[in-house]
Amino acid sequence: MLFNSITFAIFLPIVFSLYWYLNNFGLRAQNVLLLVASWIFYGWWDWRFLLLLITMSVLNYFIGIEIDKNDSKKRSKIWLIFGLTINLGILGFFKYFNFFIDGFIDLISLIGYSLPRSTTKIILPLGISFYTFISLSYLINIFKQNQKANRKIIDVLLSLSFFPIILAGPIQRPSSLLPQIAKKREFSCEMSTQGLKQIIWGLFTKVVIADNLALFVDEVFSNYPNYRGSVLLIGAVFYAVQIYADFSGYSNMAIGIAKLFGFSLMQNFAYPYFSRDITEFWKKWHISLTTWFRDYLFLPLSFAISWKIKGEKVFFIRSVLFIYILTSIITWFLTGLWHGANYTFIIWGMIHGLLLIFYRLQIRTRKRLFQKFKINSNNKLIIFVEFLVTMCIITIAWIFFRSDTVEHAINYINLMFSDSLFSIPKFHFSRKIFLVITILTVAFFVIEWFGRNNEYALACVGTKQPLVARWIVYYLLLFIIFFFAGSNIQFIYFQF
Amino acid sequence: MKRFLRKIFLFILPILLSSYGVDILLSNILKKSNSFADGELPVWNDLYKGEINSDVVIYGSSRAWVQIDPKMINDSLHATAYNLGINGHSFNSQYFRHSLLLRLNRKPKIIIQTLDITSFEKNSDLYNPDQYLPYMLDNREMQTSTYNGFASIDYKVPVIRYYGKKEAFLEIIKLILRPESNKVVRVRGYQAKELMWNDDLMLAQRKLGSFEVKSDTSMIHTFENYLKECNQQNINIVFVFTPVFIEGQKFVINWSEIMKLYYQLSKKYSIPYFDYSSDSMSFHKEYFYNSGHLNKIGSKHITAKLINDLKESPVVKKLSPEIHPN
Repeated sequence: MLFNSITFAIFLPIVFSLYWYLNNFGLRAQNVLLLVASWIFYGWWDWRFLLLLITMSVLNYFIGIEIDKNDSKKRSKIWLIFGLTINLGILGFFKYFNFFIDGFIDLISLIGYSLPRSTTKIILPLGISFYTFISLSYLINIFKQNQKANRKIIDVLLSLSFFPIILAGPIQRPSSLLPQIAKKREFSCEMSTQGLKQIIWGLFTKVVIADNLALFVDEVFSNYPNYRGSVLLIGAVFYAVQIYADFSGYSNMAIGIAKLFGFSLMQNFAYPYFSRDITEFWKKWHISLTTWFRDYLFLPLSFAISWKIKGEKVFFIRSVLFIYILTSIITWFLTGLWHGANYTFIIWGMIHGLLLIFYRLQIRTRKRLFQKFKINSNNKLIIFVEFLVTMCIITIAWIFFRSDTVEHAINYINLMFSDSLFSIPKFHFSRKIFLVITILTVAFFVIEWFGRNNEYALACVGTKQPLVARWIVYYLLLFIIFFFAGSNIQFIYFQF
Repeated sequence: MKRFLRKIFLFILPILLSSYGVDILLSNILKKSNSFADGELPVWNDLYKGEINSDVVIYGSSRAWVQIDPKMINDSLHATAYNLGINGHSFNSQYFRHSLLLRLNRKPKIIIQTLDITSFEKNSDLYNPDQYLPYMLDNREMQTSTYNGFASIDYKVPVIRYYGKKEAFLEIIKLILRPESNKVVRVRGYQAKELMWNDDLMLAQRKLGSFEVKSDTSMIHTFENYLKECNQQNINIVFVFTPVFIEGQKFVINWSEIMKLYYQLSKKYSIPYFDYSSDSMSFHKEYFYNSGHLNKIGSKHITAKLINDLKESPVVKKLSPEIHPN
């Protein structure tokens, strides 16, 4: 079931009404309803994968209890390893089976042997990367004794399959969701209104901005050899906007829906395209994933390596820097791989990893240079140039993310930077629609800019404005959503 | 909770109350468009308003729409003519227009039924669905004749079918702000294409390779019923197969099989058949703008040929004096 579908428009009010009606019947009844609703929501796509979700959730519930038994640390560790193996094994099977088999065949072919390629294509269960990561954080947190294993099976199952976040996040860790599930929730008019506003904003972002841009982007990326460099540049920039609008739109809808049920979820995007450098970008983009990798991979790996290193330098590099470089490369390799079983994602991850390493390496030199030439780093021109450079690099990296193959991406970039980059763009696309999409995209970023200090941009329209003005804004947004919605296109992050 | 629900209700109420009026307003403005949805709306308007009123009507797909000039027929045969060709649609949609014509307009004396190699092919999608937008609300007849393009809710709930129809909305805005830009593109349903040969369709066909056209048996059945109905109502039909560029004909594997079917139908129901598929025009690119469609020059040429053949045809000769050219 998609948030932007008629089915969901019927599903949500029914669940919402029943949920608050059950408020008088106790917390357990509400949680059971949410769990059933979450399973219906997930199973609507394919009930066979619902069985997988239920099995995994139940298994993680029991593994969590076993880890939590305090009789021996060694025993807990064995249970944790078992849990990690099961979760990562299932994820690996569904997501990377074909990728690794094909990779193995390619490797074998290099030494002169040829093996037949598998014709079996494994269907990727929706949201598997998301719910696996939620489950992993639950088990690791129990092992680290950051949280106790919850004995209430309904609560745990709900925290691992809560419908607003099950398909594409935010990767809300059970450590923050379980206390909310266990606590009695009272209806808040303010919170629900905020939730609805956030849903409207998310819907606008997704169906108007992302889905309309997708039409242009798909055409350009599918037929890139036929287009001039200038068109390819527009295509790349539009894709950068599309993926942001698509995913942040989904996240806003998910967070807004959770608010209707009295839950607060973490912010997943904090206006990342208004970043002046790559580190700032990654503090603001897909926050729930980046913090997950930071907490469960980057930091533990850094500590683990630092314990192994004795000297002050490794390969003539300061050991602190060496650890940073090594853990960054591993983390970003896996971040790329998490997104999909394709070399394009790995390259995309590595580009970002290397950029972050480069950024760290140049901090001191940059600071010295600025001091020497008495340049204020907060000068508006400097900020603008840094923003522009950051956006250019991010946009080029997105070309790898969007392309089907590495060859496709390299050809695209080569053609983009050919002489025709400065030619007048010509494309087989309605100019009228192109103009409308461009205007709407610019308007979207203007609103984002003015609302950048809020959790979501539309939150800047608040009680300070008169009711009539607020309602005009909401009606206008709904009007634009209604008439200017793009074709019903899946969310990009569902494929991950 | 009550406060929240009250707010929601008050917010939605104006939308609900105005929806029917908004639907009528949007549809009435859109109906005025001469160019939206391949210029099909003026044809639908004339059908629904009963303003076709012609002795000769032309049925078919885009190959009728851009190839048979009703004005030339009108001038030569002294009979009013109208081109009801519907772009991208096979016989089912043509039959829907025929039903509307008989129900809301004066009965024609002659139907020029143009045939294509895909006349009985059922498309997987509803082509050019936007042409139906202004007429859909509570239109059961239209609902049953269209498929795959809209959900049944689109025919019943006001405005909902305009969801995501940005081209329609922009057209409405244009009609309000710049009504003078609403130029007539189809004259009595016909639109000559002043275009030169373009290889696009041929290249696409070459890329696609040879293909087989699958005729839908239920559509053929409907077609035969239509022929019988016309016969009962004393409406004369003539079949016309306009030229297809010779290179384009080679891509259809079962070309001769389909042509054979048309000849069989013509024989079975004693219908005159003017087959120009092997006409000398089919060998000259200058008459075409792509392999399946004649340009303005080709269109004038083929209409003139058709008129000459019609004049010799008993169908025209037996008609009443006011329609007879002599």
